[in-house]
Amino acid sequence: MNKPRYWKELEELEQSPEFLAQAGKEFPTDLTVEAALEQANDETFAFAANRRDFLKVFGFGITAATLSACFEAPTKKAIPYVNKPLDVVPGVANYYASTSSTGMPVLVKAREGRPIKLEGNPDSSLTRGGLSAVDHASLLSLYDVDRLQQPLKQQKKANWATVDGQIRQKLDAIMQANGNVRVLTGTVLSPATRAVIADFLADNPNAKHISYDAVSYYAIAKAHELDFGQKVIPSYRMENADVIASFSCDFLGTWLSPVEFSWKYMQKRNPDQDSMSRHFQFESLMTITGIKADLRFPIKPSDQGVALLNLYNKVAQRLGKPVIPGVPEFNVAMNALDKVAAELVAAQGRSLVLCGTNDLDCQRVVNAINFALGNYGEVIDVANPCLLKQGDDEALAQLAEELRNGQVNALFVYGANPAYNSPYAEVFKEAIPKLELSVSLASKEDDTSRLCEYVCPDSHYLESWNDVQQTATHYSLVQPTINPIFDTRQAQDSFLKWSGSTQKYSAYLKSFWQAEFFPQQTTSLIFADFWNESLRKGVMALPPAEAVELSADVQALAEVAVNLTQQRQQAGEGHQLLVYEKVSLRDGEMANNPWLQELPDPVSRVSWSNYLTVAHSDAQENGWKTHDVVRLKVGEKEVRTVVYVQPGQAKGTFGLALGYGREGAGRTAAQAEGVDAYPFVRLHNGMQCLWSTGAAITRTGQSSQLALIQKFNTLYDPAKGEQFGNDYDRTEHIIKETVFPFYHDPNTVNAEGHNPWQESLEEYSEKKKHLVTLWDAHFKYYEKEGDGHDEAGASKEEAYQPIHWAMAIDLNKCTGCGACVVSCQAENNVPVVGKDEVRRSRDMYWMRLDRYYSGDPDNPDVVIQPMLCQHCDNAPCETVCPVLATVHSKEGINQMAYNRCVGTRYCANNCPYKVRRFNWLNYTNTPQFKDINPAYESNKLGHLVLNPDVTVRFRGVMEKCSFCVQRLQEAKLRAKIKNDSTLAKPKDGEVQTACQQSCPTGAIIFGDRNDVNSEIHKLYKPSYWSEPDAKDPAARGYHALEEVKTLPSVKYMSLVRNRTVEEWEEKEEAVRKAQTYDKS
Amino acid sequence: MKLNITLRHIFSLIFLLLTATLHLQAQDLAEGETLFKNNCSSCHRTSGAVLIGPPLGGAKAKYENDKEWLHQWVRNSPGLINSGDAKAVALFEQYNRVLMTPFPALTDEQIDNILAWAEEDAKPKVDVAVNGTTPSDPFADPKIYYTLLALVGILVMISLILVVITATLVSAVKAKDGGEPLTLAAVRTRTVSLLKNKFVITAIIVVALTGGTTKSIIEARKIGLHQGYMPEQPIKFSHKLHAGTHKIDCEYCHSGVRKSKNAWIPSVNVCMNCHKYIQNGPQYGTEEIAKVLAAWNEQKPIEWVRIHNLPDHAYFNHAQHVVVGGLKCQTCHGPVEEMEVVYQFSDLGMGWCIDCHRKEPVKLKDIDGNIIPTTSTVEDMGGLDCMRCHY
Repeated sequence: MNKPRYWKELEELEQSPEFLAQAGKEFPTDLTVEAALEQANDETFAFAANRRDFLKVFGFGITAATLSACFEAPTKKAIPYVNKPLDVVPGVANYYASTSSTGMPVLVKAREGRPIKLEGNPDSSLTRGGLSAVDHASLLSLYDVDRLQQPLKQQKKANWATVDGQIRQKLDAIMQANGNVRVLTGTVLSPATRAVIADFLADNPNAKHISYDAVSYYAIAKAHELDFGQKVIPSYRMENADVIASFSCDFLGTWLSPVEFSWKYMQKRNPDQDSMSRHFQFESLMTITGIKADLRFPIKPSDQGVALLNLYNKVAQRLGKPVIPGVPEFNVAMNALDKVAAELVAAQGRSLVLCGTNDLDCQRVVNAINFALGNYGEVIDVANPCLLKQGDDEALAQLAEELRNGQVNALFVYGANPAYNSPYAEVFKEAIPKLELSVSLASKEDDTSRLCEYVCPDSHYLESWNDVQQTATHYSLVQPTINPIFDTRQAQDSFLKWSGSTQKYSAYLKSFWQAEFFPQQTTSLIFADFWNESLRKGVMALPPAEAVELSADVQALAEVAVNLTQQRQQAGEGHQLLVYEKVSLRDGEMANNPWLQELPDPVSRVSWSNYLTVAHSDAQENGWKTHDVVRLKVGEKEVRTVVYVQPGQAKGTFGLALGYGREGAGRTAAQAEGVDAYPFVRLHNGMQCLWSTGAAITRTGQSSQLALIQKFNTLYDPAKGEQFGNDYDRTEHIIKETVFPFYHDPNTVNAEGHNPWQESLEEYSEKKKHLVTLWDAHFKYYEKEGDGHDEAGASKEEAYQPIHWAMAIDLNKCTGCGACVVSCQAENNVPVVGKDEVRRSRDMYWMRLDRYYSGDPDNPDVVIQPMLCQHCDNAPCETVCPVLATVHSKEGINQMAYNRCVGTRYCANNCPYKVRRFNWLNYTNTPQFKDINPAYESNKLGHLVLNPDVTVRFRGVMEKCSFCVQRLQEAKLRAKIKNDSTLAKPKDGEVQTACQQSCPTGAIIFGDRNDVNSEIHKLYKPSYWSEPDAKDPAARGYHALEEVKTLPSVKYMSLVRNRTVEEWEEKEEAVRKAQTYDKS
Repeated sequence: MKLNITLRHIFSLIFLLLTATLHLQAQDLAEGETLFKNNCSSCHRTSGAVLIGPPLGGAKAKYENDKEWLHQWVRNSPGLINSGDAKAVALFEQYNRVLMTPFPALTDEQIDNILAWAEEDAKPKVDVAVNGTTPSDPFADPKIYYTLLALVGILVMISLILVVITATLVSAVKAKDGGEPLTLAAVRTRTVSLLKNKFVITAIIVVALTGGTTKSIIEARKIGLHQGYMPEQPIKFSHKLHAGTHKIDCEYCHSGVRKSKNAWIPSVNVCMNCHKYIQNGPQYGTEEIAKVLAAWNEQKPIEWVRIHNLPDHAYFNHAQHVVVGGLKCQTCHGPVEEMEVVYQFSDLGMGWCIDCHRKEPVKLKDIDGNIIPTTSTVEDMGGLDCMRCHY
């Protein structure tokens, strides 16, 4: 059988019988009802019924229903305010500017005084209105019932007065004796908080404030100190980089400041410009940065140092600079290092080499390469450093040493969980209970707080005042949008209290800004104006400092080379384990957040657990299979985990995500599976190191199903492909991609003299030529008249009036970061269903990110495609609904009326895009969803996050993307009121869908097709039949599965990679090989 | 004979009633009522306790012989007091030295009308059924069904009697003709055979089924609809008084109606704008207003019972209908200004919504805000799309 060009899982590439059996089915289990009932955990389903029982229950049910219908409807109360706050308009949302805990500027949407949604702050020059999935989900942590609800003393409930009194008493004694007081924090982004802590420690010469990060970036700062005398993490200006070579640096997913880097990176990735940047990625695991790269090379962690040294030498050679002697010859496939070196040199001063490994030696080589290329200045900015990660590994090591020696008297832990995520976890566990005074300011119970004598819970950031400094020039403010829900107090107030100050932090912050930042700005003359304006905007940017001339000390490279060479030799041939951060859970601090737990990894598409990723070739050699339970052993440490075979992973490596398997992290976290990967973090030259050698796995013979989302939702039927003949591959009509030379210049041809892109355009327009529809009235617009005019020459009426909503998604800009998925979930009250339901393919996402591989399974190309309801004008779902629960609106929206739906599921069965989601169970009161679904009925706190304008759907109805119709309706109303006209329409940009608004790269465009001034209009040409020019951005657009003639209102813009024609040929060869790929 | 007497009685009764009415009408009660409400009601009631001035119900009788003085007093009480009139000064002292506003424009006749109406209004009234006066449907009143039932009963009785009479006559005739007399057994046999007739059985079943189904459908359509719902509220707030008598604009209290999807029930501070000063009401005295004051003093919200509940899963926006649609509150909420206790006027069902969206022309304003005459309805603008209201 012919194999598809694009495949979702290895099973599909192998065309395994299991896959083929499932592929054509909408509801992918073979379970009979009886078997399903037997399997169900829920007691209410678990009985076997015979005919009599059935009749009994049936009769009782009817009677009960009849009787219950006789009761009066419950009395509902309407309770107004006593004194309505002036700026609260019940029923209308307020927006407040604030800043998330990761330092990203946000707008908080509050309804009647409760935050219900976060958006990126479009005024921020750092994020430009984008917001990551983690920040979106941080809202739900506010309504987490597992948060600490009052201060604790020796883990027993206490009150603030007692706790404060006792802490002060003990602290005074220690301070007077100049005892060793230590404040251990995560990176403190707030300048005012740093000042508060400094004040707190001011009187004691032996007191210290130490910060560390769960995933450290210290090596970068340290390398810059050694090389340039400046201990900073520079700002990276990817928008200026023409060539990027990244070594294990997932800068679009998890590294340093992904939202910022995403939009900056995309500035040079637009194929409609005259040139695109080139991006090479060298990495062991498969990251979303790797899949965006033009060329990606899997390498082992231990080879990275030597690869960097070779790259340095190749660059130096080309620049005529001295090379480092004694570096062993090393190259990656296709002589990649030579190619990269040549391109870097060609783009001198406008290129960038990045390394995501916290290894001092590697970072120094990277610095040397960037310095030699002259990238400091335009691309790398040391004068305006990034302050998002300030952890100091050396200081932490010193603290661990002091703790070991019993030299610390008092320890305050704030925003950190060293007993869990520091490399010295064991030291902390042992030493903290012995301290004279140990205070945790955690907002949730964690491994460290359990050891501390006092726990003084910090408030959530949405309940607090604060400021944040992301870079040397970017500031933003945090303001409370709700009163503290529990008896918590923000940590800064605690520190002020213990310093003996009577000032509240809100007042402190204000005076701090008056003293520090008011004099630095020129826009306002009065501080009150400045403060109010800063608070309103939420962000403030000071003019950047001038770039400084760096003088480098790169003499030490010879020594570095020796270290790195040795490291490679010592690593040997065995497998290497690399622990990494997942895009969703990151370092695991928000492990109790159901939205993040459910969010599948963009590449593996697994949710609710971590797993051991192994390379495809390794798996073949050793017979490892996805879902196998194995014992992973590294040195003395051993854990049981589940294998996931990851195409594209470097041979000889394992990957294990951080953040899972934490004991006592909360009720939601307890529902997740997975193991704690922190014990595998080691120290290398005193710094945190995420990879280790000597890893081995042994199979246990058991298997455990991972919650894999994309195993299901096959958009095409392989059997149908056969019907159309061997050359027909429907997957090609889901994804369209090409390379820049073909796209940019129609005259570029491959070895056989073809331009595949131009040919695909012709093929596509050929495909459009026949139109079949059952809905003639809807299709005046589509009638094949050519130019949008009828025979009499009059302009043809658009079938959808006055608005025709439509969307376009640029596959080139989509990184797969998942922000849209969580944003959609928050906006539309999409339920969280948990791992069991995900395993049964019953996830409820309205917006999902489909991932397709193509080519060599050892290093495939990957495309991520956001898939949502396509709002087809010729919708197959609408024709099959027996009760007209899904019909088309006058504005081109495929509507879903929950009230009418009787749950036949015909629509889902008939949907070629598999975007309809059925409420299999009542997610609001079936016990298995108690700890995970915010809408669960007994979870009164979780209810506060629900969007009051959107229904919470009940069991038995179908649901799907509505194009955020609640936003559209509101925008239309606002436009009509504002313009005092019944005919007014929202202007382009006045209404955004949730996914569009959150996208850091602006990959999603949405608007009214009828509005000639709109961006979306330019991508949808005036007529379905008119062909855009080849150079027009609209030419890149296509509809998924065009041949089924659904006429979607969602258009995809083809992916264009910046590969040369030769590189394209090589990859095509790989695709052909894979299509004839045989498992044996 | 007897009949004549009864008729005479009835006629005399009607005559009496008519004359009484005519007598009252001589003083034009309607004018009196209007004048009272416009000029006097802020300080006087017709009966009961003192508001600011005394109730006017007894005034007519009290000053029956002193009308001249009373007219003078109403037109210019300060003048009368300043002139040293003993009666006037005494009255001034009695009611806390609050000067009564002079009404120089009122004629003697008008003053008499006011007082006449006040006296009429002060009389203890037959309870005009404050509860359950839903104005629309006479069939909503169960009494009508009892009446109908009684009528049906009478008809059945009559037909039975007729049957008996006919049967007697028939048997008498038959007996006279020498035929066989009709026996009870024969009647029974005939009736039984009639009831066993398949056509009859089918007809009965069809009638019963059709009737039952129709009734079920009619009843089922009302499930979840609560037209006429008139719950008891924690405070006996009278819209009749506030919106009707005092003509306070609806939007003064329900100020969200132009901004939000909710019209809002006013927060207590809005009540306090007036009730800081007015603490004694014309109907319940201090009793009900005291509850408002208590809520304000204790800063405890008033828990009103929500009357207008939309069916589940439906979205409604007041601003859309009031600002864009230009609808009056009364269109959906009925004559609230006449409601002593507010009840749900419309059924708020989807049929009711759709009906209006289908029939009523929209008030079309073009992009410059000019009104364009049109016959197009909300339906023509896509107002029947599911996702206008259900999402």
